[in-house]
Amino acid sequence: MGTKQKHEGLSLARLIMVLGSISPLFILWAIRGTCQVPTAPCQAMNATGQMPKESCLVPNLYFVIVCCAFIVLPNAFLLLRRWTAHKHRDAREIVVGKAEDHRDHLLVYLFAMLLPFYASNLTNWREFSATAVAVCFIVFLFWSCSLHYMNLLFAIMGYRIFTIYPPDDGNPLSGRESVVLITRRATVFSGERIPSYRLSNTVFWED
Amino acid sequence: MPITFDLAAVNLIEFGVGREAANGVEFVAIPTDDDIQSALQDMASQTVEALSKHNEVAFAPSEKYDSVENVVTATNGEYAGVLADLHRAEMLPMLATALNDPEPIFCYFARLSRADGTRLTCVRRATQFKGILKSRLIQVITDALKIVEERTFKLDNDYDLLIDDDNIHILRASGFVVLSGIEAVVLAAVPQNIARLQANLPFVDFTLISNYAASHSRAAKVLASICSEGEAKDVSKERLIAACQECGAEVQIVVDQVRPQVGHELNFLYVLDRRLFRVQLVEGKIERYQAGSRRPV
Repeated sequence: MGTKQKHEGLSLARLIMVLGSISPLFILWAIRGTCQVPTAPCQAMNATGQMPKESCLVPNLYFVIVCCAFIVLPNAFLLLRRWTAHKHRDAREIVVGKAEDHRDHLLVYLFAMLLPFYASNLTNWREFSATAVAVCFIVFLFWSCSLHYMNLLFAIMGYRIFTIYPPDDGNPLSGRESVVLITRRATVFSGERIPSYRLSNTVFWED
Repeated sequence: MPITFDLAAVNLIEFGVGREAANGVEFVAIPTDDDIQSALQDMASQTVEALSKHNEVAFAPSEKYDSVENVVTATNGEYAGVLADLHRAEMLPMLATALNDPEPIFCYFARLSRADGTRLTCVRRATQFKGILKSRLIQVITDALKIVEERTFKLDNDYDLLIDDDNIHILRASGFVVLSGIEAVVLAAVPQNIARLQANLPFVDFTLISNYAASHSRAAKVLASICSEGEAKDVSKERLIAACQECGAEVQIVVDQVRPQVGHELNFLYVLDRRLFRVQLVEGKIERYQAGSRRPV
């Protein structure tokens, strides 16, 4: 018995959390900008002998504002979601059957997200569009795979991420789906009961 | 045994519903805010208070109970059925949209947990909860009444039953009978119960009774009561025959074995369950009655 389908719920919230998880990319892009700096010294001077201005795909100010919005708003939403869950006692008891420490997911995240996109060229519309579409694909994948817990903010705040599998107690009503627990614990032992706040139906946060 | 669970020390409250599913029943958890959790906790307090007003009696499937009583049966016992599984289940599947389709919902529940790992599971049949769905409610906002157009679910004032680690404390036995699926449980247990009775009463031929009880839930319930309360132990053959004759349950003796006549199987079981009795208060007039509910005096 039990639900056969996975009902994740909170679709929009998870999408925003995924955007929060890619916020380091926007930090890097905000620093780099979309301006093309003249490269060769002979090309640098124009006919009047003045240094040419940078050619920017998007004006720096606007680009930085947009990047900052993508950095601040999703993470603010994440903290708001955590605060709301805390305020409404939206919590459940996570019972540990088996726990896996998933620090390696951060490496996957780093290689899947930060390195390729950091190296991408944003100085012409074609490259910019291709990069934006590629980011959309990655966001969709992270969203559909419920990888919204991938957030450097958690690591910065000293949290670890565990995948918790429920105990196999032979009870036909017990849940069978694994959940992700964000916690400050260094280890999680089998049999532990951990009251945790709900970020989404599969991601929980222990204060 | 009274409920020892301390409702003031609850640290987690989980809400959910039971639904009819293709392969039986399923129980899913639904996220709630703190207002609903407080209401669910209040309902548990009301139920405990209501239970405390009645004397505790042990549950027997054949017994007819009042609408509100304090009936107890063991959580590990044979009648707990799916309710024991619900109490012990860990990390129930979460389905926030379960109320979008209210038709298959047959009950709702709250699981109140304490930090020491103990839990109180509270269950209520979804009668009002479903019934109020399509009605239009009015609400006092400032000093004016306003129609609430949203789909609304109404919680009750108390639960039908509370489950702790040891016992199921039943406020409404009718709710327990439906929720635990007693009919199915006792019908499935007919062969085992017949075997148990046969061991206690080797001088009774249970062939007819076995066939009858397999298709009559009332007989299966009486059979289960006789077994669970040990009423067939040390029964004398002569006294059984005499009691049957006195109460009008016709029996015959075949090869030294007592056998109820066809059509008297249930009465024979009633005699064993002490539910048939005879009184003679008027000279020359014998009255026979069947007790739907009985208590030792």
